Amino acid sequence: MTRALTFVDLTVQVAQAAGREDLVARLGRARSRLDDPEAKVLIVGEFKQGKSSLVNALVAATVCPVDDDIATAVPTVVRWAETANAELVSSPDGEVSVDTPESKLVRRTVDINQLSQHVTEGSNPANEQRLIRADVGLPRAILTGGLALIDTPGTGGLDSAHATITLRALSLADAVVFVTDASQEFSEPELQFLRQARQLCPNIVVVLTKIDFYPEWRRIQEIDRGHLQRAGIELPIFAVSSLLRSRATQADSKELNAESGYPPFVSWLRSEVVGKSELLSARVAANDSLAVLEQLQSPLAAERRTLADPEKAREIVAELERAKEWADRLRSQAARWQLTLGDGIGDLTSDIDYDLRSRVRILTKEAEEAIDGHDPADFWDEFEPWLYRRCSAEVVANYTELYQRSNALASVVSEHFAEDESNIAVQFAINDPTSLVGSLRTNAAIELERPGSVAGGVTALRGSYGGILMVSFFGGLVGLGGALLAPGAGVVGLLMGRKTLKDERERQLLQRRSQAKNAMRKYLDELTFQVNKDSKDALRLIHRQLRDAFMSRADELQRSTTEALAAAQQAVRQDQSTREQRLKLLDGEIARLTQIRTQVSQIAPDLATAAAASGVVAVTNVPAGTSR
Amino acid sequence: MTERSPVIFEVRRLLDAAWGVFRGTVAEHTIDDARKRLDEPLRVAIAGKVKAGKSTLLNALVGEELAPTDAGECTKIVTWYRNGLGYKVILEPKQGPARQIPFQRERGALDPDLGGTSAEDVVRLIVEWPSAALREMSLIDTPGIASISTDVSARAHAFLTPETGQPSDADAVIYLMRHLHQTDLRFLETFRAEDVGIDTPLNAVAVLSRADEVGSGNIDALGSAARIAERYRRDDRIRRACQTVVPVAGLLAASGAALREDEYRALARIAAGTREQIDELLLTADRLARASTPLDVLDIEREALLERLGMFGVRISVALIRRGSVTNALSLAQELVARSGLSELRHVLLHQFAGRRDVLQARSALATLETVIRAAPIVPAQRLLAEAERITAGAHEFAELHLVSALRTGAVKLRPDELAAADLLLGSTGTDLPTRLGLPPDADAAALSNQLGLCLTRWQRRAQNPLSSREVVEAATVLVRTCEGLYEQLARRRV
Repeated sequence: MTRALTFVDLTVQVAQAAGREDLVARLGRARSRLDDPEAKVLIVGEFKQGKSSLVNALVAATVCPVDDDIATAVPTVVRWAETANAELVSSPDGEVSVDTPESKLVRRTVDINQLSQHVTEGSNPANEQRLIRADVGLPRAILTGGLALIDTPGTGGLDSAHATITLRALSLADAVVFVTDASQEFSEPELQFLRQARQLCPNIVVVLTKIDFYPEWRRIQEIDRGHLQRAGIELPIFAVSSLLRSRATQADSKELNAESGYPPFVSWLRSEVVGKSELLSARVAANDSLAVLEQLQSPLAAERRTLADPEKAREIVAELERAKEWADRLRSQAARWQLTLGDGIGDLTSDIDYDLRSRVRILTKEAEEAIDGHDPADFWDEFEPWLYRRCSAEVVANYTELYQRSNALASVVSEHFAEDESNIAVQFAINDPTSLVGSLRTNAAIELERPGSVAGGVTALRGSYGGILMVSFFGGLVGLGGALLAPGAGVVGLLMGRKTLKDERERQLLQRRSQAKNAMRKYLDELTFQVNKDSKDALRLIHRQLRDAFMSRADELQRSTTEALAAAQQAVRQDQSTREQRLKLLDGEIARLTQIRTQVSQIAPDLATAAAASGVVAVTNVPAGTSR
Repeated sequence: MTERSPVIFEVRRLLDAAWGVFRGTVAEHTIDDARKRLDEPLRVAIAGKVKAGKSTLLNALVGEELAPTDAGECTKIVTWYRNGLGYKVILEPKQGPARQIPFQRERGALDPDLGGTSAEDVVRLIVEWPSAALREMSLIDTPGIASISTDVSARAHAFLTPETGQPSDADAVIYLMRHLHQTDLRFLETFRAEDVGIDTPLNAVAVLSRADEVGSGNIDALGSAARIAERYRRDDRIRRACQTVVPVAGLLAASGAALREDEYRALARIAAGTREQIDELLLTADRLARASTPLDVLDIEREALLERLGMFGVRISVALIRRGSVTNALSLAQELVARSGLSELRHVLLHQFAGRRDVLQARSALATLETVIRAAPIVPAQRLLAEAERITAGAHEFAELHLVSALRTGAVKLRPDELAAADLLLGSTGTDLPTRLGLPPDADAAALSNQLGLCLTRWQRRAQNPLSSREVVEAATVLVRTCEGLYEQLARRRV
């Protein structure tokens, strides 16, 4: 980690010396990721399974309220801070979407001990205060390295509309902790949730809680393991007791802590979540450093070749001109990657929209048939949850489509960009094989950076908490109070004649059906509108981020090629003595850059191996070749 | 057996007539069964999600460990428990005749030998058992809904929701629910009253089961459970589906009722330790079962206690012994059962279900008859259908049932105080006279008569008030008749 920082800083110095503030800026982003890493862990599970207790036990403080009956209503994000603090985050207009920037949100500092009064249902029924989340900072060693624990509200159950939102958040989290208590084996909705979650987040564990209370927890763990196996999703299951962990903290007892089952879980969090995220940041930093060094070196190398071989100067300049042309083209609107991206986002937007609409259309038809086949008064209580569950499933399927296709689009754009980039590299220095590393690296980088790279489809949204904790205030089905649907005919029938009663009943039934259909359609309209808006916002953001990321790369390349061309043209005009002096200087400079490159590539050895495996000569060979 | 209501006689006459019409047809058997069913105890099904504690509650209600219970999913076949002269288990397969099968008892629980028949091919098991509790009502244990094993779930569903139009085999239902969230949508699914062919909240009671596990077994768990049940009781959606919600700690009730002297002694030896020693031991289930302790109680004994009473049961028993509130197995057993909420549930069942046995059974019988007639629409049967409708429309008991659901769904607009009084008068809280009038159980005849007079006047006025809506007039008319009926009851009381 610190090693990565050192090299990034060293590279920054070199770039500054070369006057390339554009490259300095690129490194600055990598540096801040190293400096302020973040690994988001989403804590999910059914109502009353001990999610809040788990967070409290992990950080040894009561930050999430725990009550026998009242549940958490607002997500709570717990991160490291120098001093304990708590803030409530809300949106001024009550509207939040994936692209709401953090700066637009209103923050209000509250006493950390009073936090529970704001985030439970008792004080904030149905989230009247329109809170988006609570941010808590605590000075705890476990939270270092950017670990962010997110306690989600357990409202609604796993097969409700609420869970849909949770599922979407999954794709933006670094890891997911699924909480279930030892009172019983997985229920069908729980398994279903895990199956879906698996498609959206690769890093999931199950935590079995309350093992201090249920003597049979070992059997439950076994049964659950069997269920996971049969479902084809093998996940680690940690069995823990939050009660023991809290006792252990109070008594400062290692034995109690060990008995609580927490240590293996904590080390999973540290190594698999924080460790991996650190490794990823280091790799991204190494990758950026290497790319920057490459670009700094290429004008020098061009100049050197011109100086060393004046007869070929014209040829070299011509090559560089072609390279510059390519770079210009890469920046233009007509560049292949630009077209791919623009068209891709356009297609995706309309496909996702169409996908949702056709899903909703089928659903509407099914719902209408159901209403026509029954008396809404009798089956409404059954119909309503069915409708929510179906909607939830369709929305998740639609979102999974968006997620997978936008990731696929990101890699196609990357590939197209890399292909064009390699054209430049080839033109750039025909005789210098090291330059090829540049293009290869881009390909390798796509593989290893996903997920987490700037250019990673839906993962591009990771930066914003608005995306991960989006609380859509979906209303339920409206306008269908019990009175409207009540089978009032029973009372009416007491005095009415049978014939009149029959007519009256039929009239009422028709009325109830049309009421039910209206309510259903209204709900589905609202849902389509909301989901559509969310998808469009997400796609717009993805588009913008991908475009900006690749555009700044193209800018850098264009500048590098321009400078290389200028240096080569300059070199042609030099006389013999200046030429030799300059050559010596360049050799020294190139050797220094190469040395830094070698060291940087050690941070992420697989980058170097990827290059070596492709038959590219290792970077260390360059000085030898140049001093012939 | 108490005196039966006139509606039962009317229904029986109708069934006799129907038997005459359908004799010699396939339906003869069904009609005959329906007729016999009128003399049997009420049939009460215990339904709920998987692992809600249905079998545990059944054992508690019977007072004997009959239904097998386990940490994993357990009940896979619909099983009837009814009072009998001897002990026997009858298997009803999908194909072929019912047959008596051998069974063993493993630590009390029945382990019937299906004799090679797989669970899928069994319609139901019938357990006949001499038991005072089963004389009041037959109990039906059902497999859990939302089981991962879809077969099992389907079998439960098939029982609770027979083929469309088929009447259910149960007269009344106890719904078991675990602690759920108030915005949980499945909250509603738990109460599928319609599934059981029942459109009145009066023959359904909800039980907040595993009450001892609320809040992971704090010593105050039952207090929390009571508060949660109270919250549920106030929820309109639940009021529409069932009469009331009772918290019950099934394990405490089942094991408490059958607590043995040696178990009490083992608990007492734990209670004899120091505060620290006890806290150490009772901190976790693993410790209680396995840890070494200076206390004079073997780990095998501790493990047995844990299995029988659960963590909460052991904790509360030890606390009670230490406090000196109980001094022997009998008093501890009584205390545990009292705290478990079982007696409240029994009271509710006795007053709500057993007290309405006649009308509930009449409903079931009429539903069966209607299905039979629909299946065989022959001319003489149409006359029977008309007669059945006459009974349904004419019997005051049915009018009362409808009114309760109308009041609870808000179809009849009354002032809140009137609503409460009407609900009480219709017997939603208890069917005995003083409860219906909102008086203490020991109220004397004069007080009863006085209060009844006030009620009668109130509803007569409401019925005659020209400003009352049509629905309210109809409701008030029903209530006036209810009052008149209660006068008769009062007169009989005096005799």
